[in-house]
Parts: sequence; C-alpha cells; structure tokens
Amino acid sequence: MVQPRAATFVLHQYDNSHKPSEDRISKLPDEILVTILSRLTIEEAGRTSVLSHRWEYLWTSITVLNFDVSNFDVSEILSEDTRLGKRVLEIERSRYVCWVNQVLKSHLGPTIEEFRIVFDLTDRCNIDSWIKFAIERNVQRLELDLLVFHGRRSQMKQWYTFPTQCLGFASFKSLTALQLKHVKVTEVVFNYFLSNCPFLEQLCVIYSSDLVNIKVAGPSLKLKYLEICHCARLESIEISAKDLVSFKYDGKKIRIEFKNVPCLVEVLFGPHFSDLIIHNFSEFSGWLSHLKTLKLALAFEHYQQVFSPKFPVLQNLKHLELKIYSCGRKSLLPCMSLIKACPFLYSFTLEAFWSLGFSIIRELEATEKCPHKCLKVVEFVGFAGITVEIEAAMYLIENAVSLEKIIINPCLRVKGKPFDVELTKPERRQLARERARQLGTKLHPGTKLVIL
Amino acid sequence: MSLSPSTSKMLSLKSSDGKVLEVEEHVAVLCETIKSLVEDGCADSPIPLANVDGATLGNVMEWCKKHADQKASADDLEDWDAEFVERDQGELYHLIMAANYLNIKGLLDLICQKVADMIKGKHPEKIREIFNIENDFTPEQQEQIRKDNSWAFE
Repeated sequence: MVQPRAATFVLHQYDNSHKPSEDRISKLPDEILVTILSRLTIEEAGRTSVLSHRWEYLWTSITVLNFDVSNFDVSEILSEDTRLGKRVLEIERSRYVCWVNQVLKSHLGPTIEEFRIVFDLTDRCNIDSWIKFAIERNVQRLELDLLVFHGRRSQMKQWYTFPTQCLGFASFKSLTALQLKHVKVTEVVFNYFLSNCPFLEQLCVIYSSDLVNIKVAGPSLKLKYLEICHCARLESIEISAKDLVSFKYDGKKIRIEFKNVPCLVEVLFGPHFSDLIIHNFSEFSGWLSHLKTLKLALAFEHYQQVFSPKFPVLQNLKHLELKIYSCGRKSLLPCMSLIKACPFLYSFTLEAFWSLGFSIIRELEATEKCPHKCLKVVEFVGFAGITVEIEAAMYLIENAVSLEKIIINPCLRVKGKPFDVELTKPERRQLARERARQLGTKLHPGTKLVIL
Repeated sequence: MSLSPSTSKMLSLKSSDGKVLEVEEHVAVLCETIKSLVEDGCADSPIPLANVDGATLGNVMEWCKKHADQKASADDLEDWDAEFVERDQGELYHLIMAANYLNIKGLLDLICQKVADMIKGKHPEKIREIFNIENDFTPEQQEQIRKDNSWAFE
C-alpha cells in the first residue's frame, strides 16, 4: 500500500518506530497486552483506555499496581512555611487516596504481582481496605511506605498499625516480598508473616516502634533478605534462617544473635552497630568470617582510640564498604587496618560525609608498606579531594599492587523523602574532580582512573 | 539433564511454511515448549511448529543461540538485546507471538518491554499514530471514558 505523503513524513520523524501499514498491536492476545501495560505507570496504562474499544478495559487487568509519586512535586509540602505545607499535604493526601480508590474500583484482574503504596497517609479505613484488596488477589510483592512528611514523626500514636484483623480473613500464601515502612508492626504480625508465608524471601521493616524482641526462625522459612531499620524500641534480634543471604540492620546497639545462617554472605550495619563491631571484632568473628560483603557506617569523630590493629582475619571477604561521617580532620589511615584483615578483598568503597565546609591542608602522613595483593577496585564516593582522602588514596595506590581501577565519584546522594537528594554543590564537585585528576599522575601503569 | 554444548545433538525444527531449521539441542531447549518435547522423548522427527514462520523461527533461534552462550557477559547480552529489538512492528509482532507460543520467558519479557517503551510517555493520539490504531469511539464515548478515568488524564 502506498503511504500518503503525510505518513511518510511521520516515518522520518520517528525513525525507530517504523510506522506500520496495519494495526498489529491490537491483534495481540489479551494476556500479552496486559503484560505490556503492566510495565507502564498506572496513569500511562489507564490512558490507553481511550485508544479504541479493544483497549478500553485491558488496563483494568494490570498486575503491577505501583501507586508511585516520583513525578510529584513535594517542594510545597516541605516548604518552611509549615502552615502552607500542611494545607498542601491535606489536599495532596485526599487526591492520593481518591486515586487509589478509583483505580481499585475499576480493577478487574484476578491476581496482582505487585502492590505499592507510598504516601504520608493517616486514614486507617482506606489502608485496611487496600491491604485486603491486595491479599485477596494473591499479591506477591507488597510495599507500604507511609512516609511521614510533616512533624508526625514524634506523634507515633497516630501512625498506622498493620491490622491484625487482616491476618484472619485471607491468606498471604503468595507473598514473596514484604516491605513495611513507617508502619507499626506488632510482634504478633511479624511472627504471623514468618510462619504463614511459605514463599517469603524478602522482609523489610523500617520505622516500626512496636517491635521489641524478634526471633526470625521457623522450620519452613525461605527468607533470603532481611532488613530491620530504625525500630526504636527494639532490644534483640535472634536469627536462625538457613537460606538467609543478606541482612541489614540500622539502629541502636542491641543484641543480635545469629544461630543458624549458613548462607549469610552480605551484612550491612548502621553507625551504632558498626561501632559495636569495630570495638568488639573478635566477639563477632564467627559469622563475620563467612561474609563476602560487609558494609559498615562509622561516626568517625567519636572514635578515640580508633581501630585496634588486631582484627581477626576475614578470609572470605571480597567487598568492603565504609560509610564515614567525619568533620574531615581525622586521618582515615587507621581504617586501612580493616583492609589488612581481609587478605582476599577485591573491592573497597569509601563513602564520606564531610561535615566541614572547608578543607584542612597539611602534609601527608607517612604510611607503612603493606601489600594488598587481591584488591582490584577502589571507589571514593562523596570525594571532596581533602587531605585525609588524598592520604587514603595514596596509601591504596602504593599498596594495592594489582589495582585495576580507582573510581572517584564526587557526588553524594542520600535517600530523601520521598526522593533522593544530592548533597554536594556543583562547585565542590568541580574542585573535587580537579584534585582527583592530580591523583592520576601517581598511578601505576596498569591502573585506570575513572572520574565521575 | 545436563546439556553441555560439546555433547549437544542437533534438533530439526519445521516452520509453518515448511522450512526446516537444524538447531543445536542446548539452544533449542531455551524454548520451554521444545524442552518438554525433548524431555518426553518426542523430539526425534522434525518438530512441527505450526504457529511460527521460517523467518521468525530464524530470528528466535538467533536470540536463543546468543542466550545459550555461556561466555556472554550480562552487559554484553544487554547491548546485544537492545540491538536485537530494533525491528519493525511486523517483525516484533511475529516475535512476540512466537515467544509466547514457544514459551521463552526471557524473549517475551524483552519484546514486551520494547513495546512498553514505545508507548511510554506518549499521548493517546500519538500512540494511535505510532501503532496505526483506529479510533472507533464516538467523541461522546471518548469523553465519557476520560471522565470515568479522570485520574489518568490530569
């Protein structure tokens, strides 16, 4: 068929879309079109309802219901004028609730894979009914993140509590991943999930004030990823999970007991627990020695004696990541004793949060020689190019004899609410890049310098 | 069952238009449909694939061959896949139908994502234009749908 001139023009305009002479897409079977629509945002999927009769109700069977607000402008809600902020929040909150309710009312699909709610919400009835909706459709991945935008952080009583009555009316048998953030989770609910979700592989509880003593165990437990963060009243965690691969904990110093974790290879700790580990390394050496990946956060200023040079050897560790909070005066070289404890370390990452606005310039400290034969990749995140960093970089360049790549990333992103925020200013990043380039002249021929 | 490339035998696949393709078994079994035939011992004579034409079958097997290659790195496969889906809509349609019929999850996911990317971020008018979809609604009907799903059109 000969295309009219206008159509030929369109063809050129959209090179890669190859305008077809017939409508093929509408001939695809329903289940494939639903799979395609499930890869769009809910709004994009909903908009296809006006394409033609064929498309009118297809979107109502999408299996991913991610009520995401990434495109949402929060600047007014977070504005310094708290009265304005609260007013805008009220309006946006009722819009969000209305949106979710409308979509769920139209949804006709028998099952859903993913259900995700992310907003500062307070109304219990709606959230209860949404959870019920998700469970009745055998949801596999459920995430509730009831972000707290405004001053409600201290008013814990108002926080939404995961409803125990939800446990009775339906089964969570299909659940593979559960994330509850800013949701109060009682021990009863927590234990219910562990013993009643035979396929649960991922469990994440963040900002839940109701947990005190938790025991992660059970004969049929399939759990692979466990994350427990910022649970203020938590006193102990006991873990006996034969499939557990990764564990993350951030919060105060509590008792953590690993009883049976033969597969555990990755552990991430926040500042308080990292501190405990650094100062009582040998106490934890049992499970530490099996790890492949270890990520610690160090509030560096508080360290008087800094590091004991006598760390037990971590034979299996391949990836070490240190997140440092420091003013920028204290030398980072004592951290290197940790690298010495890992003879087979492959990659080392140092992410630094410098609180000082200016840099201290002094002579570089001399270091002792200590070859790290296996270390191939070193990365500095939040690199500012200050003396203590250059010193650490020089130590690594001199001692990591087979270093292949040194990555300098002057950017520093933190998890924001609800979006990530870049902490460094463009001028600082530019200056840091210039300083990083000077490091390039010190490298061995086999080492590549990558500046991001 | 172990299917290593060195010991892999050849399978004959017959397309809907009568073309016969010889494919190594470890490549062809990426198609779950063919894998179950092999496992049930029903894969001796040329396997008839009534819903896949010869050209499409060739493309599908090209994808399977690349993805059966143990040496290909994840990055390498990603680049290769990105190039593989640069096709016109007719070919994409046949590939998606074949991936569905032969039950190749990886290929089906890949092309579904490609089609989703073609829809992403576009107005309904533009989507109709790209895929040549005929608008069979009256203006009144269309207005009603927009009203019913107003959250999607804000």
